[in-house]
Amino acid sequence: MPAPHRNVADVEAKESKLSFETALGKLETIVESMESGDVPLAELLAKFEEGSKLLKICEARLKDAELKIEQLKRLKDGKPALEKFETARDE
Amino acid sequence: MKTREKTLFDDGATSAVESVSEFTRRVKTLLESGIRPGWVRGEISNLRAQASGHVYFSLKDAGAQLSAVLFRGDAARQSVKLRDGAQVVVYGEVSVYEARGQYQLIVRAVIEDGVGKLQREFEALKARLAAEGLFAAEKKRALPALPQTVGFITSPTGAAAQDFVRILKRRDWRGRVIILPAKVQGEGAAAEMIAMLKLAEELAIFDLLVIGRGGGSIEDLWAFNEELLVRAVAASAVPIISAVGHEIDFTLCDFAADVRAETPSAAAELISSEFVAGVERVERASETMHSALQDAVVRAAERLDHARSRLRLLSPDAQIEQGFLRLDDLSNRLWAALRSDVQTRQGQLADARAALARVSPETRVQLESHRLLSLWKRLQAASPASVLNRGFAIVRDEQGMPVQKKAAVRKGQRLVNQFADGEVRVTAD
Repeated sequence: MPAPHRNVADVEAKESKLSFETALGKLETIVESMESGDVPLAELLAKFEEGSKLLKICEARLKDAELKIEQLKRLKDGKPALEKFETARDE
Repeated sequence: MKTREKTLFDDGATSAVESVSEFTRRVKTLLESGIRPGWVRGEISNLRAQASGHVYFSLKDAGAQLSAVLFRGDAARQSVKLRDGAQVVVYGEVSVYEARGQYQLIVRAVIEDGVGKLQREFEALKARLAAEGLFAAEKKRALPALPQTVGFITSPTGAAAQDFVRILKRRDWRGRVIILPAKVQGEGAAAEMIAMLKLAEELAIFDLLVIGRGGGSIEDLWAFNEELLVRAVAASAVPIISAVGHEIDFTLCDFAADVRAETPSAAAELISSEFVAGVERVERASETMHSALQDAVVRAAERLDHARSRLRLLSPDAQIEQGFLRLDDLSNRLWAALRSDVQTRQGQLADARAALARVSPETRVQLESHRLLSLWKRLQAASPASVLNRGFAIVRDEQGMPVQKKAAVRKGQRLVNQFADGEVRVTAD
């Protein structure tokens, strides 16, 4: 069954490209719909699974982020390049 | 004159009539004592320097004009060179020149009104751009909660960049900051910043832009009020924060940007707060989601238990057990019923037997059996066998019928003689 596999990959590729805001917004919508209490268990599980995926995306974004400070420079040929931005000592 | 007026207008109003001098004197007193010296802003026009050294001019703005004079002594002390069209702020007092019926401002000090001019330009441009909808609230975009790459258009050597970075670090913000260096004041500053905005758009790696600088005079901050830069900020494809000067400073970029931060430090705080809020939102969503599922599972388990116990009552095993119980019960009851029935009948039987015994025919039976025996004896005595026993024989034909007469016997007929101890076959001669 090559077609479904490709679809899954497509979906995941799309999900991993979701912005943090979009993923978080979707997650919050799902959570809200889960909270109503009268959702059938099977549906709840499906929502939970989807929510977990989004949560993973959000958490990955938070975890992977690190502070990096750079400065844009113009090279001689006019092309932009990045170099480390020197900051004063942090007291 | 008074008398003539009196004759012409005999209306008793004579007490209100004053001479021009009297009236003007009243005006003079009223104005000069009622209007305190103060600062007046306006543009110089119709400037006339008299040979006497006194300088006369008009101060005007869009709606009014005011005669002014700067006397020689005061004029000598001013550093500002007066010229037509100059925007100035003057300090002076009002004076009425009775001979010409004019009031004018006796100017004591003059300063150049650069600020006023800039302020007016600012207000005019602000009104024009606002009318175009450049600052419309519905144009404002929300800041991304977790920008991965933030571009800061500012002077790389300024305090703003250092403050900005320091606060992000201190508040444990995570992401990438790229300082986009540009002049932030003086000639060409706006153009450099516009070029950086354009470059940022071309690079297309930014989720959020900040444009700003630290505090300064209104002239220092002026680049942020230049129309082209304001338009470029308003048109930014990426959400943008304007962070110019101090809390009290407002620039047109502040109005054009999606969000105005009071200072570059405030911009950093805003960004890191969004980050913290984002972390919290994720945590809250995660908790709520898990507890929602857990609650649902607990609820489902409860329902399952309930259903299971109900099902157990309805199960075949339980039904069979119930059946056994019922069967045992019925069988017990049946046996009990049978037993009592049998007992009843046994009782009835015993009763009947007793009754029967009471009417028993035993005596009659004995009587009858004696009779029967004697009858039997008499029958035995009269039977052919007893005849045979006494020595007689019975002749029978072939059919066994007794032959009682000689005439019944034919010659050669086979006969049977029966004796008491047996039979002898004979043939008649």
